[in-house]
Amino acid sequence: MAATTTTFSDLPLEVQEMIGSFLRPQDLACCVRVKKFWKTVFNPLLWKNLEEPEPLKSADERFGRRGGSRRTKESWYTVLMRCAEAGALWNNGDLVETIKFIDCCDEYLEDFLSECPYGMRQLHTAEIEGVESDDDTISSFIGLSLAGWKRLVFRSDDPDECLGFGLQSIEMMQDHVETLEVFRLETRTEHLEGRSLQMLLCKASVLKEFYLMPPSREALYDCNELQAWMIAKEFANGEGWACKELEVFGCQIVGISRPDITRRICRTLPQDFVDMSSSKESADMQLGVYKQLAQLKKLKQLSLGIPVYPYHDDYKIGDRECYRQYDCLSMRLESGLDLLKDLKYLEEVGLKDMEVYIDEEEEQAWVEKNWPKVKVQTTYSYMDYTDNDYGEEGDEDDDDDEILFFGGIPYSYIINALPDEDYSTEYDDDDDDDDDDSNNSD
Amino acid sequence: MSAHSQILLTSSEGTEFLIDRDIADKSMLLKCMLEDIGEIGQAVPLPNVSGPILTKVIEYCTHHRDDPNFLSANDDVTADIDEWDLEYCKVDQGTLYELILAANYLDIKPLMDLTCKTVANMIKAKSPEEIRKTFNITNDFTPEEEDQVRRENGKDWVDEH
Repeated sequence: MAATTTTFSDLPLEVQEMIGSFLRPQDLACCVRVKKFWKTVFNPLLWKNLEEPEPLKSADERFGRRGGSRRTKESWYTVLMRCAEAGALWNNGDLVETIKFIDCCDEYLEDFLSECPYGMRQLHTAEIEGVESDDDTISSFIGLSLAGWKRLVFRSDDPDECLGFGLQSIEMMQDHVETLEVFRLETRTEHLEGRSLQMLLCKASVLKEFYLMPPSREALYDCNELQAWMIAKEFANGEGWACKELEVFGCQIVGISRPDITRRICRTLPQDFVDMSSSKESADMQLGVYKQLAQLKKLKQLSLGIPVYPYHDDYKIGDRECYRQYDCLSMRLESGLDLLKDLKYLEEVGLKDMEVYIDEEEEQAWVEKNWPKVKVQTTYSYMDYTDNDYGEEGDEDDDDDEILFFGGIPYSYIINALPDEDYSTEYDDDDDDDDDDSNNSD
Repeated sequence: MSAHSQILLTSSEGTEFLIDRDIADKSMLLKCMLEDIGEIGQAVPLPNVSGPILTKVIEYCTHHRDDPNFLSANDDVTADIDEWDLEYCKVDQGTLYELILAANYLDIKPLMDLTCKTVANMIKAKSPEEIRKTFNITNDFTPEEEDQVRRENGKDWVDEH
């Protein structure tokens, strides 16, 4: 075959870019230094995604000859910071589209921001794991995206970690309602509630995922306030949500007074702070919550829960249910569950620390009929402090609704729409040391 | 239309190539064209592709003739290149670039991926100076510019020699 004189520079730009797409950042970093034109081709690829590269694979070693001995010696995060200190982010910030910091250190975000320009024109996606930055830092980070966030995810697997995502940050998010598609805070956060979350949902018309749940672990020391939740009243009485395309909704909902559950479960007067509304008011509020949820016709995954703090110093066995007395949405037909029957795309329902009646005959039949393929998962994060063995519960209080999971040990199980097994062995009926056990026939 | 019909192609020098229809269909350009206008019984001119390169392209398409994953096989950017493809790409740089241009023009994505990956592998794990040598490129940065680019882009990504 006759030798040709075609060279690399004869290749069209898009072909050169395609070649670049097969290169790792460390290779692109060398390419931009080869010559000026190479810099214009490869620099955008190098800075497009700020993300730790995959380690070398065998094929690279085969081709790269000395590949093995020339691996990255220090962490990618260190290299990135050194580039940033040389002004790289000021010069290339507008090329950045996504940022993914998964394994960086605690204050990395602060250091990163200190070398950043005030905004990045094309930035729209970020996934940050395991940082504990404060509200100021997070809100500056949110301000970085001039294109508008499409996807913003903060995550932490460590239940001791708490992200400072607070009111200032959620305020900043209001500027991104037009572009926001995915918003997930899978971590403990600052105490985050109410109006701003509701406003976000009212305006974010292209939102697909809204998920604000702390990692589901056994709950935590001293973290009473440090969670995100929505207040049922605002949730239920507020204006309708704009996000009709929502596929994932996960949030804790608080502030529903439950005279019914108070009577049934505690058999005592409610905690002092519990606002005793009438059963009708409670039912109306729950109906309002269900009405909002029922609007989300595209929903695939629904996660609800209430915050409980079983390890807290003040938390005594008798108090165990106090939050549920006050906060809990009930998954009952009479509360409005039936409104969710049109959620045809639903695949998964997660219920954390909620009062669940899906095991009840009526509700179970409803689930079978309306959610034949839905995986319903209930989890409980409170601990049983006592070592009592509660024996058979079926013998007593037949008239009462089942007092489910009262005092149960932390466990989770899955009801696959048609639970054939008898779960009752797990429903320890906790008669513990409530003052008033008079309801129990004995 | 018969599955065994044949198509006549003409390279840039006017050389004619008679190939089976299913080979021609590996090229999205030819496939769409043949679907749109039918087989007109005349040679299809390919003024951008020389005879030797067209021979090489046909060799590739013939080897992968019955490959069920032809269009999806190379989706994995990091996937290893198989032995036959590896041998196939052992050509001089000029030929490699012409293959890329032909694959681009004829719209044969797997060949495009293979050849681009091969060029990428010539770049991988090399210092800028080694890259210049490989591709016969002259450095046009001033020392000051080079220093700035070097500092901005993580001078110690790889060991310098």
